[in-house]
Amino acid sequence: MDAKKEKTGIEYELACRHFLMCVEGIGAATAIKIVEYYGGAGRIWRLTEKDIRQEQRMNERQKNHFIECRRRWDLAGELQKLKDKGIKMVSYDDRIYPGRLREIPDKPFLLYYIGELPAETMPCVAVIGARMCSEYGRFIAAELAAGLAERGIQVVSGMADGIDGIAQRNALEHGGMSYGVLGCGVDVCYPSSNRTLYQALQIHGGILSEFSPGTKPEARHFPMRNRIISGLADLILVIEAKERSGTRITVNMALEQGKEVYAVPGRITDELSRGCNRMILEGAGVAADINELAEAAWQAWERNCCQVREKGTGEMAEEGAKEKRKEAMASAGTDRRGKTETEKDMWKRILQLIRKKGMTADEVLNCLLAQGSRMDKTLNISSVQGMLSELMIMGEVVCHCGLYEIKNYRLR
Amino acid sequence: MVAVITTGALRGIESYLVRVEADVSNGLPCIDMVGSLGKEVREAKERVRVALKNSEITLPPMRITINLSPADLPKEGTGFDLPIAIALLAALGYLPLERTEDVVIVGELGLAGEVKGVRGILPMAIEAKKKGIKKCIVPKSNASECAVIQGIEVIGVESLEQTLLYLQSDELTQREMIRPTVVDVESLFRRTKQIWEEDYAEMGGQESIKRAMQIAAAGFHNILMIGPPGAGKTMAAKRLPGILPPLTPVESMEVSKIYSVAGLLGEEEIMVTKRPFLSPHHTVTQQALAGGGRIPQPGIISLSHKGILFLDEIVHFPSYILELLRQPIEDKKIHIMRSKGSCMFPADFMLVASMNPCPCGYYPDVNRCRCTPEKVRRYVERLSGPIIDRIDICVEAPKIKYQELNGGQSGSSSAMLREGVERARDMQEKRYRGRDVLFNGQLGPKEIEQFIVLNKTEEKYMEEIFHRMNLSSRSYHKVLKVARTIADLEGAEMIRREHLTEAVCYRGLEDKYREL
Repeated sequence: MDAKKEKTGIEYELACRHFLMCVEGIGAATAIKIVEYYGGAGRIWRLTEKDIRQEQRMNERQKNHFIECRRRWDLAGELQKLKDKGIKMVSYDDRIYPGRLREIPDKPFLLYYIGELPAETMPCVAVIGARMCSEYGRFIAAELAAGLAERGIQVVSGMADGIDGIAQRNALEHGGMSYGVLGCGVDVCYPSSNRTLYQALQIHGGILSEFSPGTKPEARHFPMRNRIISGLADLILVIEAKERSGTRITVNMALEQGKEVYAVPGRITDELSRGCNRMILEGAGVAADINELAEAAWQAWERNCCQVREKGTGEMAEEGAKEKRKEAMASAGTDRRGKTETEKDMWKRILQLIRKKGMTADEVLNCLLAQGSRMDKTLNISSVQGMLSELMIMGEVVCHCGLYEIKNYRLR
Repeated sequence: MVAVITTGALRGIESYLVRVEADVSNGLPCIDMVGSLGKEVREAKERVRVALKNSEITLPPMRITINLSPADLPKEGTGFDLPIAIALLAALGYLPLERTEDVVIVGELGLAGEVKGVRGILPMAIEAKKKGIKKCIVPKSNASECAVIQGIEVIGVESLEQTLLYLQSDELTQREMIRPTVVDVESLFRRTKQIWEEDYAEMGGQESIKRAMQIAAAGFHNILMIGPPGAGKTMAAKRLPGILPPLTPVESMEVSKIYSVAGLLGEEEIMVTKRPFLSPHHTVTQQALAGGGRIPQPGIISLSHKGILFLDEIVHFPSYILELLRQPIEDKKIHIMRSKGSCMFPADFMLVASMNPCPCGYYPDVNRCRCTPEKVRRYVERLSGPIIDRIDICVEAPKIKYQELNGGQSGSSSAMLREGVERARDMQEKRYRGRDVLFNGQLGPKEIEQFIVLNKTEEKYMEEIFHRMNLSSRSYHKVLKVARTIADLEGAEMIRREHLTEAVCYRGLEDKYREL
């Protein structure tokens, strides 16, 4: 009986806190302040209008909104609505509130989530990067996220287009857990093109947000969202970022929160790698090897949680991954039967060209002509297009709107 | 006494003969006109009256009745003025009736009695010939347009007085008075053949886009060019008519008919001998594009019949304008329904479209493009699926490099490209002889199965392509059609592996943006 009473007490408190978050103008900082002062949101809910008016910790606007909102609010009904949607809540002083998040300066007052919260018993890595990414970034994000997942490491990200989505998708595909932190309500799938990922994350991980359900994605939400991403992680891994970008902002926040940052180095001519290279210059770790990266993540987690690392699982996962990689490497060489030597040579030359830089068919033709070769006589745009297609069909190159790029950047 | 004169009336791009009957009888002096007349035809009364007066012919104070038969078909246009005047004069006994037998008279009158040109002379001449008419009396400015039809005597007249005089004289004097207009159609074709001011040689580099244009021209495939601003998309499109196979006389007659009805033929251009190229601005209205009006007139899509309809920056056209193109692209014609009846205009055009890859224009150059993936997606999605479905070739125009602009090899010229196109045309002619289709681009799924046969090895390879590239069934058919054209360009009977692989490069927009 007591337990049930206590449970309803907690539920009542959470319902009141949910109400507080839905009041326009009240943010995490104010909410924490007044809840600590009154010793619970339930008490605030029951305050008379007169008391509210005299309250020191809220400004006039917040008070007006509070009173206005409370008049219309149905505490039990709103709670039921969340339950129906499968949305759970956790507040900052709750036992299950993520430990890593508790440490950051402006921690969220209330987190809404579908699925699970990140497990405390395993490291968590935030994989972030540009939405508009290159083929290189796409590949690296997929590869590293898969590697992390295979080593029992959770992947946190923003479920956005580009790097975020790719990393999370690959973590899930390789049996890992992944968590998406949104800049809108947890019941809103944004961007809508990631719907399948959104659904998969609910099962193998979770969707988290500090914004009340139904909140639309707005530009100002995203920096706030980013502090949760970095807050939830033990280590931040940046795949691709321009020099001035949202990713850069997230990294700055992560540094303020005292998190470790790793960046994937890139060519110095790539706009998309400039941010990463700059971070490395400023002291970020170099994410060049998946094993080192995983090791760093485990260590960061150890430091953060001061818990004994359960050694066995990590190593076993590593072993498995190594074997898997061996197999993959063995089967990677695609068969190219029935082709003459000269054509094979040509393919090699084309691959060499576009390995340096993504090229259009015309550029490939011009470069080949400039190099000069025996096959020059038969070399024209249609034969180059044909060869590029062959390479594409073999899965060696990809084409994005006319730009041909190498698909298999192989990790050594 | 009733006098009868034959003239022509328009209905869409077809014509039918009309009998103008005039009767003069006792009664209160007035002119009555009957026979489902449109506004302009009713006004003819005043023009005829004043023109007669100014030609020094006074009408007697009698009751004049004019009937245009068949009386139930609506009649529009200004070409009835001259036949009405002549019928009236015949009824009054100014000229012997037998001189107007087997003669079609068409023309608009000015108040001073001069004869002005009218629209749609060509279909009228065709109809007249079909009905066994021997002589056409038409405005002088329309005479050569009419004379394109062989086996009919064409007399170009300038004034009412001259017409009257001509009809009053006997055959010998007639010959001396006005010489029949004669046009040598063949020399007309020879003269206009191969005069193209713009050449593909002027486009440095850009070989991929030129090649795509060649394939499109050879197979009459609809084509879409995607590229950043200044990549030469418009240039490439403007040079396309120069490599298309020349207009055949039969095709030319069809196109000329449309232009004649639209009133676009004149003394300078008496027949359309070049494939039309029309490039409407994206603020074009539905009526201007599809045709219409109270009296249906051919629109831009009909004027580009057998030629090119170029939509520059296609995504900026409102969707209701683009959706309009769906039926014409499929049926090669458009039906226009108005209160005055419906009519059909042919619209067998080749759609050439261009667009930027994203709002800023630089995708996939991530170093320059500032658009979010969402923005790019939304930009491309402005083109609806059904329109994309109807485009066989999709090609990217890369940004031009300095070296390509300045010197460098100019690459293939129009003449070189045309050579391949002509070879492909011969191949297709042989293959589709006696069928509706002329070009690979016009094949439906059923015909693809019949005409595009792959060898065993190629078929297996195509299967691999299908799975590896994740093609839809529609893109699969497009790849086959384009591969057929590529093989035709080479003069190859069977489609080979390299034809397939090249065709894959031009697959549709929907496949290219999917990975975004």
